[in-house]
Parts: sequence; structure tokens; C-alpha cells
Amino acid sequence: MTMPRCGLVVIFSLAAAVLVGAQQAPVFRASVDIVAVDAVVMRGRTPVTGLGPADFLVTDNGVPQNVDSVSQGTMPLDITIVLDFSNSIRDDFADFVQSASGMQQLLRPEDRWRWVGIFMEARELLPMRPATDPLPPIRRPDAVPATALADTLFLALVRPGEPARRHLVIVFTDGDDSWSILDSKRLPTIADRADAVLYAVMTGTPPAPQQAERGFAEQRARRWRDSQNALFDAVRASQGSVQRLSNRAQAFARIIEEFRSAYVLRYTPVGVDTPGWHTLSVTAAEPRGLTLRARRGYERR
Amino acid sequence: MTTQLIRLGLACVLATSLLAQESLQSPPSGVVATALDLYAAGSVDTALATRPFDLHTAASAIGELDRWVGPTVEASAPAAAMAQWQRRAQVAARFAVDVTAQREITREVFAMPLGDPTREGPGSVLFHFQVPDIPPFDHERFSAPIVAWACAHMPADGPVAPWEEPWWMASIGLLQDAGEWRMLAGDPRESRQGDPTRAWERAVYAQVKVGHLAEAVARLGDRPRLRLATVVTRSASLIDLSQRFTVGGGSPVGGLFARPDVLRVLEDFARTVNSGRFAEFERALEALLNEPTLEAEVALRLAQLRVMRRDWPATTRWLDRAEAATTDDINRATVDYFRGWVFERAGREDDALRLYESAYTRFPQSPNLNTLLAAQLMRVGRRSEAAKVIEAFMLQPFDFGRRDLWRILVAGEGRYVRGYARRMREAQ
Repeated sequence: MTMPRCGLVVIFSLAAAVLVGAQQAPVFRASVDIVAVDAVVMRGRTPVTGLGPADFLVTDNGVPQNVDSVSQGTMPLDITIVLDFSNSIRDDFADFVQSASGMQQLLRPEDRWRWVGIFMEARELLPMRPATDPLPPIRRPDAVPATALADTLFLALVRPGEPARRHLVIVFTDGDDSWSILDSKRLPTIADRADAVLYAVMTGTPPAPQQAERGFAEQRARRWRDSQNALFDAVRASQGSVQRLSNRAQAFARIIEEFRSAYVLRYTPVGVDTPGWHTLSVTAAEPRGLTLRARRGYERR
Repeated sequence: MTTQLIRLGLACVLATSLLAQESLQSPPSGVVATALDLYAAGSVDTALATRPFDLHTAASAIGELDRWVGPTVEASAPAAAMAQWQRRAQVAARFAVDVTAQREITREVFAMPLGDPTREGPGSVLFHFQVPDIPPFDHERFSAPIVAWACAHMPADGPVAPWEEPWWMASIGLLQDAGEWRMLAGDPRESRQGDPTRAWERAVYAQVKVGHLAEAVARLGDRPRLRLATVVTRSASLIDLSQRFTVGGGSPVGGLFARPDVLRVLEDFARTVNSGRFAEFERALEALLNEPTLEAEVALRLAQLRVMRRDWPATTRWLDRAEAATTDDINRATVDYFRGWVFERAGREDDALRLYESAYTRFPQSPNLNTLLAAQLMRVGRRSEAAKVIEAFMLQPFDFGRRDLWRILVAGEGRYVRGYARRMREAQ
């Protein structure tokens, strides 16, 4: 089965300029774009290694492309940790922070991370910085009575990735959103268009419909289910995954391992010069027994 | 201390009352009196530059104002003493509204002191946000007592001085911006008189009983802008569920206009409102359409009442009329924002994108508009632009200037407060 999944798409633009004459010089530019798309290939729960360019089939806006090169696990990571500060997860907060902080040991000197908080609005707590820098202690305020989950994920996902770096967003949340401007139904589309891959480490579940009381409790349960489903759809659209492990340190380790195992495929696009959104298809040449997840498109400027 | 604040979002976070605020601060004494001396001597800019209320709660500021004005003079006192007291009272009333008007007005965001941030230490930056130069109280809890106190010191009879009209309009704007609908509209059933030891509380209850708008009409006479302010107040008080602060705490979940997803929430809310009430407000607004200076605003408000009910044809008609009657950037941006929403709801997403872009060009600091626009930009793969639009406000440290266009409309005279204050000074 071929499933679209993980992948940062980066376009490298190599421009050559030729000056003819010193005065009133006409400038000729030759530009070659290289598209890089990452893809996770799994056999069951195990990442597959050792694949080469010939093992992948790529189409760009439906036009088959030649994969020039493939690398695995070499690109540095940009990780955005999205931390839910809302009252509803206060009991799990300290454990999550400890587990997320512990992830520092799994990161390399060239990796970077930033921390974003879900409050009643999105807040960037720490801008992108080397992941090996000391992390300040994290506490939560006593009261954060509402949660802008969709807005915060929008902020985390919206920034286009930097060339030669891969962007991973990990959100820790119960999935409840009570205060976003953004309609959470929009999240999957945003995640689909984003460079970053979204992983969710979940805690808590909304009450089942029959368990919720009438009135406000029922409304809240419905809202919670809707926003949580939107989050799951966004995770799928970005080619990430949802982790529900009670051992959150293990969940983080699994995410990093999976994300690092992604291949980066590079190709020089042929026959697809139009700017704007390009639809990608990446499949395995020999798909038997493999699950392949790769980005479904990229923006060409 | 004021720079160590946590930004949590909306005013409704704090269910604390003004009484609770009193305990948070230890205001400096003498700052207000010094500024008042400067203001009375005509050094208005110098007086305002001292930001005399910044470290005060409304209660402590009013205490300072009271001390500067001096004890009330009995009616039997010599005329010179009475005139002297009245002169100082009116200076203080102008000063109080002027200083409050100079503060940035906000509802969407505010700063909340973290108890004693000095104990947190430098390692706690993850949820402490450096917010330079932000006063330690939120605006909306400040306006009601200040305006109520100042109103009690305004001339009640005799010829209307030129500065009085802008004073009244500024004070109405402050209360509308703060959502003090009850104080504006008045409530004759209000029987409380307040704690005798708290001047601000007595002033607030007295003003609620009479109604600030009624006082304005009594003093200035019937004027189109006052009629508009009355309709705006009545319609806003219908749909603002917050029952905001007047005395005591506000709602912990905030009001309709505190909600950031305002257009979506309003659609849900409109279903619960008796359509007769909408019709009543529409009739009152339509009666003001022929006032040339009000036409665009009135048409926008009529569109506002229709957009809530998803009546797209009527919304569009009113937006067309508003657009034809205005060149004001905020009005034009609001027209396009609403039009974009109409298209989005109708499934015409490319048209929505075009109109949100147009609105954004005119007014780039509205969280709601920016979010809707950025979502549309992402949809069509224009991600760099989406990032710019979102990060322009989400990554900024703190910006009191950013406001939702809907909120600006609801706040009525609120957007003109500084202009009124300037006119008041020029007329003195």
C-alpha cells in the first residue's frame, strides 16, 4: 500500500548570472531548480534502509521525474515543540515537559528547536535555537481557561522550511480547542500545504456521546471531538502520526527515529515550469510490503 | 515589575474585581497631582507624557483626583469659592478622560501580572513574556469608574462650553470600547449606592442608575451621533453576553466580543435571538441613514446585523451602500472583510481570498482577518505570504494596536476617542 506521508519539500535554486560588458550590461540568468522531497519508508514498524534513486517513482503535476539522488538521515532537523498550557492537561504537563526536554539527548549539534505555547492565543516561547542550548525551566501559570489549539498549530506549521533542513512539529495536547480564530476544519488543508510534518502526542479523550450530559457538557464534548478529529486529520495530511504511549519519552524517541529515517529524494523538475502549487506523487518502485509516506505537493515560486 | 507580565489573551481571564486589583498595586503618590497642575497650567502635552495613571488602579487614581479637586463646596459657600472648586473639578474631569483616552485601548489582549514575578527568576522565560511599557491594569476595567467620577464633576447646567461636546463623546467612546453597556444605557432599577468609603464605587452606581447617554443628551441635546451611540449601545447590549464589569467581577468566560472567533460565534448566537429585536435595531438605524456623516457607519452596522443571520443578499446590499458612502480605510476594510466572509460561507473561496487581501491592505493588524486571509493563502499554496500575514501579529511581543474589525465597529465611538480628546483640548 502506498500512503502519502512524511516530507519536507525544498527547492534549491541555483542561479548563474553572466555579465556582458561593463556598462549597460545585459544580464542573463540561467536557473535550475532542484526539488527535495522526503519520504518515510516502513516495513511494519521498522524503517527501511538502503534504498536508492531507482527505488522511487516521482511525478510532479503528473509528469514523471528522474530522481537524481537519495540520502537518508543526513539533513539537520528543525523541531517545533507545541506545548498545551490549558487547564485540561495540567496533570500531565510536568511529565510531558520532562519527556520533551529529555529529547534533547537525541538531537545533534546541527539540529534546532523552538517552543511554542498554546494559551488563549498562540505564543512563541523560545524562537528557533540550537537544540543543544540549555533549556530554561518551564512552568505553567495557574489558570489558562481556554485553548487556541488550531491557531497555535497554524503558527507552528505556517513557516516554509529552510533549504537543507527538515521541519518537524510535535504537539502535546488533549486536542480540545475552545478559543481559536481559525476554524479547526481548516487545519488539515493547512497541514497538507505545510513543509513541516506534524506529530501529536495525545493525552486524554473526549467523553463518548452517551457519557456527556446535556447542555454545556454535551457542547463541550462535541467541540472536543470535532477539534481532536481535525487534529488527527491534520496529522494525516502532513504525513505524521499520532502517539498515545503512556511512556512519553518513548513516544518522543520513536518520533525522532521515524523522522530521521526519512529519505530525501532530489530531482530536477522537467516539464513542470508553472509557479504555484505542484502536486507530487511518490511511490516505491517495488511496493510490496512497504508503506511509503511522502509530501503531496510543494509551492514553486 | 511591570515588564514581567504574562500574556494570556483576553480580558475575561481575570474574574478579579477592581477590588482585587486594588491590592495588586501600590501606586506612587503625587504623580497625578503634579500632572494635574501641569494640565491646569496649559502644559497638556507635558502632563500627558508623565502617563500619570500608569501605576494606578482606577480607585487609587480617583483618590488622587479627589484630593486635587478638594472637598465639595457647600451651596451656601461664597461664589468665589464655588467657582474655584468648579474650575478645578472641570479641569480634573477633562484630565481624567484625556489621560484615559491616551492609553491604548484594547479588549482582545491584555497583560496580567504574575503575582510576584520577581520571585520567578530569569530562568522562567518560557512563559514570561517581556512586555515593555505596558501598564499593570487592563483598560476596560479602568474606564467605567474614571468616567463615572469625571461625569459627576461636569457642568450640569448653564451654557454648554465648546470643550464639553468632545468630552461627552470621548467618554461615551471609552465606555463603548469597554463594553459598559449598562452604564451607558442606564438602569433605573439600580438601587445600590456603593461603599461610602469608595468614591469610585458611588460614582459608578449613580451613573448606572441614570445612564451616561441620557446624561449626555440632557446636557448636549438630541444629536445624530448620540442617537447612533444609543442604538449601538442597545444592540451591543443585546448581543454582548458578557455582562461586563461595572462593579465587581466580570464573566470568567468572557463575552461574545471577547471571543476571537467572532464571526463564527455570532452566527451561532444569532439563532438564539428574537428576530423582533433585530428588526427593532434595524428600524432605529435606518432612521439615521439620511445623516450624511453617519451613512457609511449606519450601513455597515445594518450589514453587521445581517451577516450574523447569514442573510447574504441583504448583507451585500448594505455593504455596497457603505462602500459608496465612505473613503475611510477602516470602514472600507470592514466592508471587504465582511464580503470575504460572505463569500467564504457561500463556498466562493477564491473571491473570499481576494477580498480578505483587499481588507488586509487597508488594515493589516486584525487577528481575525489575518487568520482568515492566511488560511486562504495556505489553501492556494502561497505559504510564504501566509507566514508573513500570521507571524505579523502572532510573533509580535505585544501590540495593543491590533484589533478585530468587528470589535472596532461594535466599540462605536471608541475608535474616535483620541480625536475627541484632541478636540476637547483645542476647545479649552
